[in-house]
Amino acid sequence: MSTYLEKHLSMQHSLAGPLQPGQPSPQPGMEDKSRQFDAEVLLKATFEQDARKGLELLFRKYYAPLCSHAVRFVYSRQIAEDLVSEVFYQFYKTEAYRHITTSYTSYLFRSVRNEAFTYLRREFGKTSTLDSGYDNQPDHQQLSPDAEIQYNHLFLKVNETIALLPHQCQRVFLMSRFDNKKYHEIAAELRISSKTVEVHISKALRHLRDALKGEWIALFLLLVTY
Amino acid sequence: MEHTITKHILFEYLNGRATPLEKQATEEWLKDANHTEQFHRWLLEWETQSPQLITDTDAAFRKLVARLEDQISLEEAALDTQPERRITLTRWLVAASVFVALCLGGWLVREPILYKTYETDYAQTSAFTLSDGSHVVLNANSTLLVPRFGFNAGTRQVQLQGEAEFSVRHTRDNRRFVVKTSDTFQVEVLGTEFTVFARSRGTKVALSQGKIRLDYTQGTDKRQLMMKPGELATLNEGGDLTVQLPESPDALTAWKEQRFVFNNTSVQEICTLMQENFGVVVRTGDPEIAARTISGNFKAQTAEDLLEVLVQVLNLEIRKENKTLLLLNPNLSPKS
Repeated sequence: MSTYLEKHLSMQHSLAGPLQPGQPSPQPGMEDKSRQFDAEVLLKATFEQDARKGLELLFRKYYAPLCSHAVRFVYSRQIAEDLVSEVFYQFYKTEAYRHITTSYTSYLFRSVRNEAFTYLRREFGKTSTLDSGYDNQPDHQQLSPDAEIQYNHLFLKVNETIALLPHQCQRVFLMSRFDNKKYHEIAAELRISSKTVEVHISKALRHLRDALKGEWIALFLLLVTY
Repeated sequence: MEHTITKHILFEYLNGRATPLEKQATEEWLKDANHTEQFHRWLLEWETQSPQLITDTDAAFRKLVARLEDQISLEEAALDTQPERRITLTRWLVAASVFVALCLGGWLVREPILYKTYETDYAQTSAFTLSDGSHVVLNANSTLLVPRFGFNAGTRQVQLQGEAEFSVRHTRDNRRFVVKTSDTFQVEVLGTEFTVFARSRGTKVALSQGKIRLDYTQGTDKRQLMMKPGELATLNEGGDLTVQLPESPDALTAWKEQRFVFNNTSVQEICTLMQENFGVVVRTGDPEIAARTISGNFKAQTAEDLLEVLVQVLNLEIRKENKTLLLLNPNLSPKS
C-alpha cells in the first residue's frame, strides 16, 4: 500500500534511537517488552533529574517515527513536523511528563493521532453539517479504544484515496506536500503549466474531502456517544 | 481471540493488507483498552521500520529548544514584575511614588512614544509620504503627529498644527482619513487633495480635488460641512465658519514652491504671515501702512527676501528694535 510513497521518497534506514544502541534485530516476546520497559524507566528517571535532558532523549527517540505516523494522516511533511513539534512543546510546557499514567510511547502516539485528527477535521471536515459537534473533544487520556480504530481507518482512507489518484495528479500532490515544492517549481520540473499544477492539487484535495466525509460521521458519533 | 493477533498481523492491518478476517480480529483486539499500550509499542516499531519521511531531528530539536527558551525568557520577565509578598508601608510609599513618577513620565513623553512627529522649522517646507501611501507637504513652522500604532488599521487620524497639503491615498477597505486641528475641528477625507491651515489666528481648509467633510463645534452644537473642490473654508477665532470660492486657488498652495501670492493683501496680514512662516516679528506702528495692500506673486525663501519685496513695492523703511522689525514710512519717519 505504501509502496508508491516509498518509491517517491528514496529512503534509507537510519533511525536508531540513542536508547537502543546497535538496534538489535527485532525479537519477539518478553525481551522486546523488557527492553521497552527499561527505556521507559530510564526516561522517567531522566525527567525527574533534569526535565530538559529528558525532553531531549524523548525527542531524539520519538520525533522521526511520530512524524512518519502523522504524515500518513496529513500528507504534508511540513504540517506533520509542525504538529509533532507542537506535541513535544505542549508536553514540556504543561509539564505533562509529571503526571502521565501511560507509557511515553502511548502518550505521544495518542497525542499525535489526536492532533492529526483535529487538523484533518479542520481542513477537510468543513463541509460536514455536524461540524460544531466536534469541538468538545474528550480528554485525551480517556479516549475510547474505539477511537484508535477510527483513527486507523482515517489514515488508511487517506492513504487509499491518494493511491487511487491518477498518476500525474498523485505525483504533483506528493511533490507539493512532501518535497515542499512551489507550484512553479513543479510546473518547470514536469513541464506543465502552473495552472495545471493548481488543478491537480485542488483535484487531489477535493478527492480527499469527499473520501473523508463518511469518516467524520463515524468519528462524530463515536465522540459524542462515548 | 486476542492471542491470535501477532505483530505481523497488526503490521499487515496498518499497511492496509489485512484480510477481512484479520481486520476484524485486529479491531476486536484493539477495542480492549488493555491492548492500547501494546498497540502503540507496535505502532512505534512499525513506523521505525518503514518510515514515510526522512526527518532532520537535530534541526527540529534546535527549533523546539529555541521556542522553549523564548517562552522561558517571557516568563522570567513576567516573574520580575511580580510584587513581593510582604510589603511594608515605606515600600508601598516608594512603590506608589515610583508608579506616579512613571505615569507622569509616561504621560509627559507619551507623544514621542505614541506618535511619529514631522516638524518643520521656520522657512522650511518638507514633503513626505505616510505609511499608507498618502502624500503630505508640510509648510514652515508646522507639526504633524502621525500615530505609530494603529495608523494602518481603522481610521487614519493625524493631528496638525500649522499648514499642510494632503494628497490622500484611498484604501481598498475605504478607511477614513481624518485631520484633527483641535478638539473642536477636524477634516474628514472622502476624496483626495486638500490643504489645511491651522494656526492661532484661525483655521483654513482648501479643497483642490475630491470631497471632504468638516466636523466642527459651534457653541455646543456639533456641525458638519461638506466641501466641494475649489472651495475655501475659513474658521475664525470666534468659531464662525465661512465658505468661499477663491479666485485663485493656487495661491493657497503657493507656499509649497516658496512662493507668496498676494491679492489685495494688507501689510498687516503679511506681517502675520512672516511671523508664522519665518518666525520674524514684523510690526508697523502706522495704521496707514498696515492697511496698505499689495497684489502679486513673489518668490521668497527667507524673511529678508519677502521684506525686500515689501520695502521695494511700498517704498518703506525698516528699523530694527530689539528683535522686532519696524516698518516705517520714510517720509513720516520721525528721525529722517
